[in-house]
Amino acid sequence: MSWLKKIFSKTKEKTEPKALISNLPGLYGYLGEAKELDQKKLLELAESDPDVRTCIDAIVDAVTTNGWVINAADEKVAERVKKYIANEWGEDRFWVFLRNLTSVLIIFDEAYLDVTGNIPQITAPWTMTVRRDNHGNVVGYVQQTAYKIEFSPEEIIHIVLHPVADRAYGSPKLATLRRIIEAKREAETFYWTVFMRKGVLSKAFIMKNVDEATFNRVKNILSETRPGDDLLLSGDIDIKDLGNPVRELEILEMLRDFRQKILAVFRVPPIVYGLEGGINLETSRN
Amino acid sequence: MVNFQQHITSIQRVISASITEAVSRILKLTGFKVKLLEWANPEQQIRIHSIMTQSGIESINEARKALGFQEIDNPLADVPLPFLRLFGENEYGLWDIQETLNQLLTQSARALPEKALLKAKDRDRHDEEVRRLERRLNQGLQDFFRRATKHSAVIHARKEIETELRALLSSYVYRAALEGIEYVASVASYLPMLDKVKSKIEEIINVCVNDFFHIVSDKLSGLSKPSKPARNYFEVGKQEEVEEEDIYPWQRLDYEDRLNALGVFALWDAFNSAIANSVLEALSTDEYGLKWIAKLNEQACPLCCELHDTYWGPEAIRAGLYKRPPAHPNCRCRLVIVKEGKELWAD
Repeated sequence: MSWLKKIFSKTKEKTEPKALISNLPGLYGYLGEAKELDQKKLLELAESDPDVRTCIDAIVDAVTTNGWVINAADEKVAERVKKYIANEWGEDRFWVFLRNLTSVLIIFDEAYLDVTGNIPQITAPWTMTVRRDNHGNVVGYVQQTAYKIEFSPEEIIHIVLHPVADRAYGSPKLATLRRIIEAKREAETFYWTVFMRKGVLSKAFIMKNVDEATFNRVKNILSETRPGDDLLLSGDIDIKDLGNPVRELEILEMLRDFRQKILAVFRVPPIVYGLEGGINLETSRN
Repeated sequence: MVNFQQHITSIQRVISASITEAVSRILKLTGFKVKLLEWANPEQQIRIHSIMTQSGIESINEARKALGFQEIDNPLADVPLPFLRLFGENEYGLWDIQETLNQLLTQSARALPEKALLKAKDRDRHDEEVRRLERRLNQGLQDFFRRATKHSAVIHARKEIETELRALLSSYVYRAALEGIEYVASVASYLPMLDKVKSKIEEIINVCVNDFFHIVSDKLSGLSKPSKPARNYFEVGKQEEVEEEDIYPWQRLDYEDRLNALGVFALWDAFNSAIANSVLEALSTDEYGLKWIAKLNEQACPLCCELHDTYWGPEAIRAGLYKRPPAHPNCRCRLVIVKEGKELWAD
């Protein structure tokens, strides 16, 4: 074996693990590893739900509220970094950048910082994909917007908040909450409908001894009424309530349970969220 | 709260490392760290400011300002404490350092959740015993509940287990009351007399039995969580200082917790009633006062923090113008006898 071969084989032994990643590059090609989650959907979930939004804001506030410090053994180095932040960003813009980065991380569980410019740029995660080799080493990043842009591993800092096994992307809490948020939205829509009907719920109109023309006439009138409209009909009509789903389904209780679950997944205590009742009196353990 | 803080700290570590790496790559510089400062909950902030004030790093007014309190209108409040102590209190007749510190502590205690500043009082063997009774009574109530919910209707359940349930409650509630009476007898010149509190104990047992079957009825009718009790049986609540919604907020307890709360109410109400009634009897021989003592930890509610250390003299006790725990479900506050300004705890 030549000396060149010896060096090559040793280097290979040292750097390459034996195990392969589950999502091999041959399966997805040059566009990068496909994402299992629809990240735009995650963004929509985060923006549409007030409880999720409040939890994210609470976390972002807690992460950024106390500011930052630059630690360095060499004071000159610390001074240079401070000057860089002050000149290139300014304190306020840097703070906004930190908030943006935190929000992106909480919503998508990952963030991409493009470090090719003067200051790191947060790129939209749903436009970015990762390219890896068979052993999970990142060989590049691809951004797909109107154009396809390729990045080397040095040009992008990919941050994953909750890495799972050999997955390239994070495991967002919003994905865990997706069903809860959707169910909550349905419950809220239902409640909204009840309000629009001024609390009047579905009714059954039983018409006795009716001819077809009258039946069709009433049917047309009912189909054209808006929620909450009053009806004045003549004839032998019996109107019956079809129950009270708001009470039977315990919608309010359900909405509160949904909120509790959202708070629990985001690990935001009720007092931080702004709910005083959560820690006192009945629920307290004095 | 600790859980949330750990969560925030871990996110901060990730972000700090990322920013450091990003700036390092752009500047091609190493040997530094951009570090996000840790988030501290209000309780920790109070604690930090308290330590800083004591050590003279900041003045009383600086601490008050940082905590959002009104500043004290006195030039000495702007002087660090160690300097003030050098002069001694006697040279400044109008200025009492301790009083200023107390103002800071009292104001802090009123806001949530800065209980850490208040020193928790020691508990004596009597309330330790009530805590032990709590666990056993809770176990018994859970067993009865399981038995009761096997029936198809509450009326059948009541018929079968009411006598046994009443016996169980009586045994524990009377023991809690005896602890209270024994406490009074051990610290005051008072001959233990159970008959003075008997009617109150019977009332407590009746309330508990009825509410137990109220909970059973909720379970049998298929409610996911028990409804709020039909009555407000908490002493402070009776005096209408607390809104009903404050005591029973929308986060309903589940069945297990509701039963537990029922047991806690029964025992602590019996214990405190026994103390209060016995003290009233003991007043014929000596002058005693009562003090509300809350267990001050991070879970103590604002209502109990507010009432903590409240003192009622002999006249107020005779006239019935005092408050008696429990203040709310799961309240474990107690009354302590005070004589000549000194709290009397059992050995």
